[in-house]
Amino acid sequence: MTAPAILPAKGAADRLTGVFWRRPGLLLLLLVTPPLLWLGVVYLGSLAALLLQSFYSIDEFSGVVKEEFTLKTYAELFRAQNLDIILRTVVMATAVTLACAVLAFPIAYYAARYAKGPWKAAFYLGVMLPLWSSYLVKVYAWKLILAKEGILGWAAEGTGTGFIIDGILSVPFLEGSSLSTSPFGTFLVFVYIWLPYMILPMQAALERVPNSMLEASADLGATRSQTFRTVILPLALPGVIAGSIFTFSLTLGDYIIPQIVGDSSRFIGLTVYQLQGTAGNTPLAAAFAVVPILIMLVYLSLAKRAGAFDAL
Amino acid sequence: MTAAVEFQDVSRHFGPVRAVDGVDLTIAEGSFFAMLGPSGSGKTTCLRLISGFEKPTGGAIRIFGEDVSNTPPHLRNVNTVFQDYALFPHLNVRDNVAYGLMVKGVGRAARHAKAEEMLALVKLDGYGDRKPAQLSGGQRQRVALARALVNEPRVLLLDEPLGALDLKLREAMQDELKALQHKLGLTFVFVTHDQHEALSMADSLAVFNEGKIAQIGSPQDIYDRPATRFVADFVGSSNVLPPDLTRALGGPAQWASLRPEATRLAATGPVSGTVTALRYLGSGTRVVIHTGATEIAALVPAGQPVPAEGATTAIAFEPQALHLMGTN
Amino acid sequence: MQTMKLMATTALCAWTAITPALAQVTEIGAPEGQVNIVAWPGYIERGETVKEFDWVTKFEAASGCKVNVKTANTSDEMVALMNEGGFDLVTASGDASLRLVAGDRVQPINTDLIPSWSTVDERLKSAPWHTVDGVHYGVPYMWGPNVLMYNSEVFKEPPTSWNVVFEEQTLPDGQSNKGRVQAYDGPIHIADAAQYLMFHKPELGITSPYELNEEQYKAALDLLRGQRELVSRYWHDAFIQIDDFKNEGVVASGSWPFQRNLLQADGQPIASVIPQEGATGWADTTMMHVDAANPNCSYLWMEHTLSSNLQSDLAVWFGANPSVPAACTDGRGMSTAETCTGNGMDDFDKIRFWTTPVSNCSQGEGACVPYYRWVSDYIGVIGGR
Repeated sequence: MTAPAILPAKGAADRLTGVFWRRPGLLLLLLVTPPLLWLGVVYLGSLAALLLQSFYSIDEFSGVVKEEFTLKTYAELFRAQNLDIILRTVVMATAVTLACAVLAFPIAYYAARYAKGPWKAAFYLGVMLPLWSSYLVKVYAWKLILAKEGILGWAAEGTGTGFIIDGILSVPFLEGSSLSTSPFGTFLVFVYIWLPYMILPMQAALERVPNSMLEASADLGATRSQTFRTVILPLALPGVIAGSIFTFSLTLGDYIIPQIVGDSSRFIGLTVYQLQGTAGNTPLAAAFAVVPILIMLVYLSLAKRAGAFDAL
Repeated sequence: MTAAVEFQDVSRHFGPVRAVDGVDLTIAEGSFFAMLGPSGSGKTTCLRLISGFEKPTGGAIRIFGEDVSNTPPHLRNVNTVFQDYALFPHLNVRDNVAYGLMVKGVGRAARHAKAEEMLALVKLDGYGDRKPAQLSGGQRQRVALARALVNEPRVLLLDEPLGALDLKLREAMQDELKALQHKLGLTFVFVTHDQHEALSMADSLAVFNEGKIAQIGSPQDIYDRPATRFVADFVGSSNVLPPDLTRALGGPAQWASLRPEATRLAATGPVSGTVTALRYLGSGTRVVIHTGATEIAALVPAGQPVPAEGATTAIAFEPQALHLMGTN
Repeated sequence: MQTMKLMATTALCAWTAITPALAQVTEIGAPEGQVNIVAWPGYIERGETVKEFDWVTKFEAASGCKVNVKTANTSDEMVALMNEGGFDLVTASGDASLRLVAGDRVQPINTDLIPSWSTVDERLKSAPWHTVDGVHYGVPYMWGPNVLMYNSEVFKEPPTSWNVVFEEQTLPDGQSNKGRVQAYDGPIHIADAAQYLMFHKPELGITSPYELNEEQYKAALDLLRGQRELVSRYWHDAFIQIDDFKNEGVVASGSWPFQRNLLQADGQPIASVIPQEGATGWADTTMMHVDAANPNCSYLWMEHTLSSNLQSDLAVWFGANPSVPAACTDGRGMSTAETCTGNGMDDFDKIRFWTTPVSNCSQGEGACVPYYRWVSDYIGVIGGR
């Protein structure tokens, strides 16, 4: 007896697979609808609500939100103290991103091009391990490390290098009674907390650069530094940009670290938290919350113009 | 003729692996030299020893008489066309080609002019603004070639340059490469595992096996007079005869090779067998005859009678067609 | 319908417009079986944190009302939760209570239904943060001062003035106070500055630190700008402040008895004082939602909160003062006359309690700087503006 050309369907799963085979779009639809709904309704919806709020204003006398369209709230962003906050946040986010990039590059480069087998596993473990413990625990730990009578101060005193800390603390804008109360301390903690988010995409990007590309560069007469500037960096740039989007936007939005480490100066995240919380000034909070979005849009378009995505 | 590249007892060992083991080699200036061998035979490592991406663990390498053992790749006046082309995806074709000039500090206008010149040489005029991703495989190959030539190297290294192309394109490129080499008068060293490519393009070639050179010579030498069983096996469709068969055919008790086109079918002879396979090749028919433990192929020219599968036939040949290869 | 009567009928609306507030509840009926409360963390303990501190279990057994607690960390969270609804009671501080009254989120309390009302501290019975036009909108729960906490090794004698945190000076140990003092990281701290000015610059005519006209407000901000030079970090979290006193070399700051108690328990050389200028403070009130679903249990709970043993234990637990003075002395709980004195029980008159600054104040309609400006300006001050 010969086997039939068409095998009988064994059950619902066989029939369902058949349906999906005949209508490939159906499976895709089923797969993407829930996340799209989530993204569309919950995320974009709340974003729209945020935008809407930012065009309201707060009544000067009663402190009640007036639900009328106005640009007054945005104008308030330009008050000196609010510009300070925006500038302070952007400078911090930029510094943190640059420092993360500089620190992450050698680590990511080593992991992508040299680490093999157990070393690679050790690398992933080392980078991911800090992400497994609570963010708050890490920040509080750093507060203790950086405190006047903390580990760092103690070590500096013991080794006679206290003048380095004193030197940092005497730099304008970084003043404080200890690293833990100095903006420099805030910076250090930001860099520590966000570093893995820079290393991982960078490493992924560097891993995708074939070795022959580097050999081709050397073969054509480029020195190591020329190869770095003209081949490795441009090819790793999408990863650097991806990482910097993380570090930059996470710093822009964070409101915990500056509360615990630093000189209490406000950053955007903390301001939003406080304005919508204690002050009940939701419109101004919303307007402040729009600022990081705008900054990120500007940043991404600058990155695009600089050719950051050419290698994608 | 001057030697473009000279290997003197060169070895490259990776731990216990002897990728290249005591190789002596001379590549004449202006020649089209092929390195042929199966994968892992050491041919690519030899190429990388010339370009400087590998350092020898023993011996000396000289390029135009100068010892380059301590010279990094970027200071060697040789350039490479990589197997995967290794074009820079973030640069357009013109900047890819001009890259070698850019890193030397040649001004933008001058290097772009030179790049256009190179693109014209490989028949890609007008493609300068495209990105490598927008090109076909053959076009990328040409860009890689133009880029490697822009620095006017004294030796051009090509690592399986045609491996990724389809058959028709590969044949066209073979002719073009050959023509280009004639035109430029450069020394081309290319690595391939394709014996037809090696034989048809090279002025001389080295056959690699297990880190050593099995034979070095002209294509004719290699094809007609393989030095070892390995060469005979690898380079082509030659019949390899074991010593007892050679003796049965009237020769000394040595390994020998016999080209199919020199093998004829006869009604009677000292060695006969059964026809087990027929393959029509257009210019003739390849007939495989099974004699004891050995298969012998014969090429029957078109127009001559071809035996049927399963028929019995004897083998004949001109005595000088039998090439002896020693006892092991 | 239970025996409770609701007076919210259309006919009565016109009448209530004349006497705007009247308690909705006139009788306590059968308990509903539960009561839902919004409270500060640590305010309603059922022995789960420390076994001895439990003032819920017995109440539940006796009343048949299960107590469900939702903790809130800020006054605004409390206001938001009450606006959402679904809760019966809230332990509102002075900067939230009037907002709840103004927003019609809470209902007047019928004090006749709360037998222990008579035991409430006379000083609190008609406190302005829960009494509007003579109508009581809640039952006082707990109060405490914002004391000046100091390191007793640096200050051999207790500091007599808040100037140690407001003006640069050499402290008794010979070193400057710069970088060694803290201030509260909340806009309400402007009131502390205003209170300091009330004493030292009477010519400004400040009558209440929560009612500041533009000129008075500006003077307070100027004082705070000077303070910014002295303060390395402002405090907002009690435990971070405790850590700063231990590890950051902070020697003086406005604080709560809560931190002082914990530091002293830890063996640190810490004490506190209410200086000559007086102090600000907080006073919390149990208020009842206008649409409370469980009014009977709510009333039972409010009565329960005034029992002197609860007040006594809570005062010790939180380092604050009971609303029922007897709790300090009747020995029914852990408080003693000494612990009450330590928490500032006798300093009530020196304390100006937190209340939300509004523009319509005793200086006139729109004469005072409202709270939302306090928030944005204090952000500016901390940012160095």
